[in-house]
Amino acid sequence: MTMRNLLETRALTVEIAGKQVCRDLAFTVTPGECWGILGVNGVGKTTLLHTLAGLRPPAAGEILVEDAPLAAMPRKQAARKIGLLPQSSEDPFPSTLLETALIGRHPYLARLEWESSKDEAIAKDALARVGLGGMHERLAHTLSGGERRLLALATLLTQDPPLYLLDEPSNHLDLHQQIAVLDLLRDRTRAGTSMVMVLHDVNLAVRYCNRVLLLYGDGQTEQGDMQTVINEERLSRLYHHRVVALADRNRSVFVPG
Amino acid sequence: MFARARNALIVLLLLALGAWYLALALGSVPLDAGGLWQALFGAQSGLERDIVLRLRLPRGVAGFATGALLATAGALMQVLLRNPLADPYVLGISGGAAVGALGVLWLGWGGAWIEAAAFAGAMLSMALVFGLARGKGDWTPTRLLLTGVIVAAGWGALITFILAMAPETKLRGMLFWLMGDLSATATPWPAVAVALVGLAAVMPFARDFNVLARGELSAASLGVDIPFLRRLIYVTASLFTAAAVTTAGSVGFVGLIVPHLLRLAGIGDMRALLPGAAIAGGTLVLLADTIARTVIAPQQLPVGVITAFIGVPVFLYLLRRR
Repeated sequence: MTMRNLLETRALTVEIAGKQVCRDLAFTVTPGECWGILGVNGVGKTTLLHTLAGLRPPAAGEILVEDAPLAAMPRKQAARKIGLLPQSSEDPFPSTLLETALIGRHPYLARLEWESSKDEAIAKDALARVGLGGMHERLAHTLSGGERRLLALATLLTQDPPLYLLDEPSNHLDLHQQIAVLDLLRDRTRAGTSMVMVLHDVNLAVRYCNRVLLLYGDGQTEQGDMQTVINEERLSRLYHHRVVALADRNRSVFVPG
Repeated sequence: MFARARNALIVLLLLALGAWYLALALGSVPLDAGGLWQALFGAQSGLERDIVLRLRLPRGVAGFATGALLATAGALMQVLLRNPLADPYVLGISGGAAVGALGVLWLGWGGAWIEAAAFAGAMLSMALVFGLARGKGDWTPTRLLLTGVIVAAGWGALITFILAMAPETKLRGMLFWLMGDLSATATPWPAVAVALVGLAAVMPFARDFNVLARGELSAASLGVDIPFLRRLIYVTASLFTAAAVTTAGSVGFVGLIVPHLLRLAGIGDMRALLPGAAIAGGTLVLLADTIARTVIAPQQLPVGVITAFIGVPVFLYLLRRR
């Protein structure tokens, strides 16, 4: 029996403002994979992520989720398969941490249904896992930038779809929090959840992702196993700047040359 | 979640009952509890019964419905625009209604013409903003807000023009309409019907509003149908506002302040906030109108003055305490 692809793109072309982000992309995500998307600012990493989430139509091609076309899937059903951690989140109105995390249960509830104590337990567990346990009644807008990022992640953990699309998950976080968050996501990956994450830090991508998709701009892409694809040459081409690898025990660390 | 919302609504309902008691009992013929009971449910007819059933009750219903409509419209607009400063009037609907009503007052027509013209003006404004904001591109909150604010400014200029040109004998009536006044309301029932039907239409989507309040991107990724929800909110909030200003003129402040009062009291969930705003908004206008018609009786004040007099200090107090 072959394992079903969680996400598959067929001849996917994504454009933003007339510029190609990727062209004829064939990209598949199977359970337990962790993909890093790398590219320079403005190359369209976020646009690609939103397209994969079904939030904007592609210029051409098709996206399948568990072999069913995403475009034809009811939005609520898609939200039970794919979750998105946006680059930033809004909270113009006061709302407690628990209320905010519980939003993640929305796709699972019927129209007039209220969150059950089971839903609350899921949300509280997610808050505890990101280190925001024990302050459920605190108001979200009193949190720091980094804590808000953790809260957004807790909302995604509460949603807990089989595929996480993460737009710079380590953004706004201190070094130790970056590692804690990525460790947490790696634990989810080992439990079978798949990740596609946009990252700015090559070395975090090398450390945490086992697959990589490089966006060169003008629609050109390369993809594959992290260890085989990532090297000085490709990264230098990707970032339009010489990148050198420094040996650190059993792995390489890439730094600007 | 559910228990908290239910308890909050029970408290608000008790406050509303208290306000209803005052609204029906106070006035030029004050009634005690027994007298009010007799007037409402007693067998014999009389002056007291007429005063309560023919004057105070319809006026109370009109005030309560107006407040309920404005407060829920405000809560909806704030979610649509994701802007805490939004109120039912921000997109120019009351401006359109005012131009209609003032135009008719200027011509010297009265009664139902004023209400018909106000409603027509509100609908025209709603269609105008909706059409212009959509344009060719996307329908973003910022674009909608800017379009609405500019259209409202246009109506404002027309209102000033009418006020400047109108004969002095008609100015008082016009000013009362602009400040919001319940003494000239013909019938409260259309407003009640709009409030009940509208709330029944939006309540099934209240949890979607909670999600939408956190931004369209998050909401879309959680399975919310954004284009549908935008239209639902825009049309409902506009109809609510139109029905309210048609009934009572542009009563200020209720639509902005009541949703925030409830949020400050910890009711942020739209499933509790919408019915809560209906009850609290209704209560506020009912109380304000009771004061407006009794405090310097026999003279009457426009109810909008009193809503601001009550609302401003209460709001500032809660804001400081939090």
